[in-house]
Amino acid sequence: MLKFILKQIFVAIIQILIVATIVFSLLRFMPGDPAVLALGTERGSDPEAVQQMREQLGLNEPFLTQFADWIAGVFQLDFGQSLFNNVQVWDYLASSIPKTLELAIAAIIIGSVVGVTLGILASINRGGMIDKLATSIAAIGLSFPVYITGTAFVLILSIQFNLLPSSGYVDFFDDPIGHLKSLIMPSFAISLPLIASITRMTRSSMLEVLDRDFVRTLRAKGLSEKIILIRHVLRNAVISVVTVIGLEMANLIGGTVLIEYMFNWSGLSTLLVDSINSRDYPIIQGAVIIIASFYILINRTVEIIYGLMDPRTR
Amino acid sequence: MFKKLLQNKQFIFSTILLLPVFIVALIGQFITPYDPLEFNHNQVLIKSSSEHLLGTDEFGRDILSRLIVGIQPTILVAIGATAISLVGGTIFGVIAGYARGIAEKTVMRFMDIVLCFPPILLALLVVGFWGSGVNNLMLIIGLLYIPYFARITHSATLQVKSLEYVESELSLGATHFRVILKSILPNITSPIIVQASLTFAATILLESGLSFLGLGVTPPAPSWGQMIGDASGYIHNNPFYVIWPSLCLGVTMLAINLLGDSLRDVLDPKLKR
Repeated sequence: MLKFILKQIFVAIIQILIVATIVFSLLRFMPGDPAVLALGTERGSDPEAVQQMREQLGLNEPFLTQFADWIAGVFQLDFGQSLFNNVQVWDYLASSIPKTLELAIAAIIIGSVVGVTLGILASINRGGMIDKLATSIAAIGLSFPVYITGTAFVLILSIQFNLLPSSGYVDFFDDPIGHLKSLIMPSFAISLPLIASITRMTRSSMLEVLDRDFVRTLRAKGLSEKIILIRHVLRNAVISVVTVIGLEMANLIGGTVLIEYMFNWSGLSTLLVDSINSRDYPIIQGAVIIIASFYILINRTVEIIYGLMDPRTR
Repeated sequence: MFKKLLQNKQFIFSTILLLPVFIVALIGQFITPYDPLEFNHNQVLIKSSSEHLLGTDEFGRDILSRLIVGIQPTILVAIGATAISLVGGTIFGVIAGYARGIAEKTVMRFMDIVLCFPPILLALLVVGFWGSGVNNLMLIIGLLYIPYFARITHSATLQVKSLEYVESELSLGATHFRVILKSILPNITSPIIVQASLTFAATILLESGLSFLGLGVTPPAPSWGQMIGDASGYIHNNPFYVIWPSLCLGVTMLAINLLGDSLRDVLDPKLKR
């Protein structure tokens, strides 16, 4: 078991290193000189100033030296400075990571709770009204882009009934209730695809298990339906929920990118989109590395949990 | 196969929904009531009138005309990207599954590397720097989805290759090229078609997402995602401006997913949920 976990950690480190290499080289070969960008249009036309800036940014070093310096820094959470001001990239990242994590975790919790509940209800009402409702919600959740469901929420909850703020991030320590209010719509919007997949997965795996012989034996033994469902059938559904969360991670990250932009939520993705628009290389590198690392770590964790629950997959 | 598809109600229903979308994508520019790019500062953000059926946007452009023209780039990008990833992924996947050994390891490890990134992240980076536009989007999104295809065709090829008739064909002296073309490819079309429908939906989602962020189809040419992005700023003034493109995109996505589900049910009964 320990060997299996160590192997997953090793794979994760290799993958993160590969991602770092690709991002770094990709940005070096992008059109545009960072030194000119840092100086702005006016001073950027002066070749002497550009040369000086290149020296200062370390752009005259050989490619490999630059890369080695940067990687060494990354491991100490030193991502360099923003091109346009003297703020450390890590300061930007540190203030936006918790906001994105909060959104993602809220979405995962909502998705799991609502999805598993809907899936169970649908499977024990197979063919009934609740089943049809749950299947339709799943179909809509899987096909509608998150910003459309987000827009629907805004139209109904904040414009029609004026219950929730239509966008913006409120700091928890300034106004705890306002913070939760601002969290509701974005996290529900992101969680809808997750709710959809988890509902589908829970429903089908519950139905599959309910058909098995051992359930009939348990019923014949006189166990109550509740205990059979919770203790015996649901256990199988939990494995599939973990798998689905792992598979849906790419969508979840895509969801945070779009929803953060839409709800003006100043998280990692907003930072990334803004710095892509302003071409702030050091921030882009940092943000991409962090997002991709989360993605890789979650995939590896899912692999480990999967291995713990089902030893055949190791 | 076609007979079975035509008996599937879901398939019929989703095709009926999608047919007008494709037709409008094809002939859109000839049937617009107004010029979709023409500004009209006297009629800004109108809700609905006899002149402008679905109202106007922040520059007074006719929303209906923009919706009609706005399908084209989305469908174009989706078709192009799906074709690129289908061809590329199938070539890589079949070669990897057929040749095994070093070729397989190299190809599949390389695919794993691309899969380390969430697709939208790489797309954002590349589009942000090399510029958007239909051709770039098509190419980038297509390349990003190659690994998903390669994985499917790889495992399908492995299955088919171990069957006796492939071995017997080889022992009769058939060239590898012939075996791949005549025995492997025809037998892995089902998973390829199913994956193509999934990719088609995913590429539309990615294109409209990028356009929503303002990094997709280049303005002033409209696309649905971009219209939703622009309109969400005017949601208080004219909610219908955001409702129409959202409805169009949502229903199209729903139809494509229903189509994908029905294709999977018919072509790949083992995957039926």
